[in-house]
Amino acid sequence: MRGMVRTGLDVLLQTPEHDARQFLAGKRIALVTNYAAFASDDRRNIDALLQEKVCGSLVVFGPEHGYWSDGQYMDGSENERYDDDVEIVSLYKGGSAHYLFPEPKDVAGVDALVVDLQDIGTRFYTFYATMANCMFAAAAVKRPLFVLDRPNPINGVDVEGGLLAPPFISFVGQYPMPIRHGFTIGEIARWLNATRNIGCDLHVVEMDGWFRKMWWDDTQQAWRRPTSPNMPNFETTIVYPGMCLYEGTNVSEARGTTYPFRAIGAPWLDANALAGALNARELPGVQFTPHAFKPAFEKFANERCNGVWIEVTDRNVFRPVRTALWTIQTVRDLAPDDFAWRDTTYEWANASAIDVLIGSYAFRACIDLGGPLEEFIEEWEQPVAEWQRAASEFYLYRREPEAHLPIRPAVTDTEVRIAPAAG
Amino acid sequence: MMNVRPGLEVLLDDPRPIAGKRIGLVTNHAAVTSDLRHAVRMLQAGRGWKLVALFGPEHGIWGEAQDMEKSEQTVDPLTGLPVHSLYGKSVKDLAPKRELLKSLDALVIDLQDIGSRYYTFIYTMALCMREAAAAGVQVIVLDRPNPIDGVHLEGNVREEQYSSFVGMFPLPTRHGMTAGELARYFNIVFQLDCNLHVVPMRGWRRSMWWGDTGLPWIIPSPNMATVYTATVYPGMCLVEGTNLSEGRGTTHPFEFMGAPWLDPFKLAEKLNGLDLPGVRFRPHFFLPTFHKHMGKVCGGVELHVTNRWEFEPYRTGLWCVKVARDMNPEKFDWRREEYEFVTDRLAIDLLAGSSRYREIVESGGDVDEWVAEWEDELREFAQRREQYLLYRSTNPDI
Repeated sequence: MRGMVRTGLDVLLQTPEHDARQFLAGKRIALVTNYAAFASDDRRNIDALLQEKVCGSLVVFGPEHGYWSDGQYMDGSENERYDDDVEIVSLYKGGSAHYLFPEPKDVAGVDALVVDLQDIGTRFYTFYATMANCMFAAAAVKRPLFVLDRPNPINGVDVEGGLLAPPFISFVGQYPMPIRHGFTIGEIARWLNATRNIGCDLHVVEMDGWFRKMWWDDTQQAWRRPTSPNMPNFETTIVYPGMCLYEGTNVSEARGTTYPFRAIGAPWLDANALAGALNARELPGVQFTPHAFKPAFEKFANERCNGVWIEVTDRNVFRPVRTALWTIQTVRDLAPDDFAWRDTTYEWANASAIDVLIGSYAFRACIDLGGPLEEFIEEWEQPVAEWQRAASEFYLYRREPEAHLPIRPAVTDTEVRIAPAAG
Repeated sequence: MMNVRPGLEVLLDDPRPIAGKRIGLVTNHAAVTSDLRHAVRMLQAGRGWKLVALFGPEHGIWGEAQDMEKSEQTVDPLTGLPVHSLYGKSVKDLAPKRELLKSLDALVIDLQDIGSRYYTFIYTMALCMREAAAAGVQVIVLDRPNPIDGVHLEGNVREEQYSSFVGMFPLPTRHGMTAGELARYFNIVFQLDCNLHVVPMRGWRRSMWWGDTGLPWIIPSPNMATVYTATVYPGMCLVEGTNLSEGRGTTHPFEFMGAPWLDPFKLAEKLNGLDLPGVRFRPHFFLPTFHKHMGKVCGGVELHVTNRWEFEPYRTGLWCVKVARDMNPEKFDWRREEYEFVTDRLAIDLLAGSSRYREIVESGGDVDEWVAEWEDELREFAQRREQYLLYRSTNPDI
């Protein structure tokens, strides 16, 4: 199902009479964004917003990894300048969770906050948490907040993984949603504002032409930049909801290679045995091939790791979270003496990294005690259907266009189309 | 899912416009909330207002009558209120009685329009506005979506001498406006001068087709079966001005056209040969159970809209009639009986809003030459309507 999608940024730029434009014209805004946010005409959002005079002036609030996304995860970034006119304020200065919120004086110094961030549909990915923190700040300082919506690259239909339980709240899991949440970032904003009583004066500038069933490559939008240093392409977003769990182990998630999250391994693993054991499980939509790699940094830097490459053969039936859980159990069973959970501080949370990622203590218990994984998964995911039903109240987009008709080509709400078309 | 909220729901959320008023209601069965509760029931239970009179448009308040069938005054079974027909024996019966209006504080109008100039509900609305102005009564229009979107415009603007109940005002065939927007437009441009209050929908955008609104489709009149009927109607209603069947008396009115003397295979081939955008034609036989050619097998075509954004319904209808006529000019004829209270002009001229079309067909001319002439007047109309539009934002929630 393919169609021309215009992001919220495109809609805002192309619609001079948009109500958001009326409000923002001439105002000073804080643009919460990073370097990967472009308009369809290849202009960076900062440049386009200023050139089209959508706002009077702006300051950039940069999320995790910094505006230029040059920092690795958990690396703090400092304030800097985009150019002579535009200052960049870091919302991820590192050191402690204190620096995950904008400073009140910075919020008070603008007329409105505008969020334009490409989220990737997974609870671990911290852009939505940065947005939520900005919403709290905007509400406290009484500034409106506009979210320029963007597609969920891994579609808006499929959800997977259990909800997050309160003790395991962190920056990589700030709210009780499934790991793969099926929201766009604009929908998350609406959901949070209503269910968390944030009370932010929130306005979502909706996309045009996006339907929930769309994957990134259905949208005719280009993946212009890695959205963060280790999210180089769309393919990575498909496996990320599961493979990120390896951050909670001592197995390499292939950070320090050009294909983070798409392979796993460790010096003490047997690649052939692992691939054979995983393929024998016949998990849907995925094949495992033996693979070796040498990470340039992070876990096992410059050591040869043996493991598997995760090849998604049918993304529509592939279950990234479940797949990762089975691989962790298999790795642990093949090398029980070498496998270990990560035991160092992770995203300033109070619990072990794997518990923070899973949002529960039960998975670690299941693996360590050799419990039946299937039962854990079933129990863990049990509340998710009800969660999605309630969350769907905040959906802004339909699942698909009417069955027998083609997807809307780019027709805008403000144009007049006169038949017959010229020529 | 985000549903569009029709004006009726918006009014019920905030009934201040009717607070303390004696109201009359012009409506039919299709005026429902998004969860199918009907306007009469919702407005009957007045919290500080009183519903005292009901008015039914063409086809009656419960939509049971066929086209051009006169409706009589009846009693509403739900409220026991009298239902005054706004579609009687003659032109003067099309407007509400002024004395009746004088007993009201406001006349509420909730009618589902379908976006074509021929469809009479918007003129019933206009006549109500005119009489209400004379009676000094406020008019409150509860808005509903244009099912075929508010972006696409098509057709010639109706010429003055072809004014009728299927074209009371100079509009293009496909006007791309909602009833509420038209009320604003009529009130100023055609000087109805009534005290008008439009209650806009929430969440409707111009690019939306009916299916995007999340609202249930209720047939607004007996032969407007689906949103696909509304899609082809701006063109296929022209068939009413001929002796061809427009598929009335089948389950697919306006999607079928034909006649007992037409060869469906040749007709489909010729129409497909025109390469009209967004539509294909399939040969089809059908048997009308009433109306033209009742009980006779008609050969003809079914229209299949393959791309509704490119589809040009009016131009397609113009070509359909012309091609069918050229296949058998002996058997083909224009409708010559009375049509919508008019006897001195042909139905096809009233529908086309001009005699140009008939003259082109009769002289074997090229329809597309006429089509090419509309662009300027359409652009002018688009400009003229601009200030009366209610839905301009891409995000009405802001």
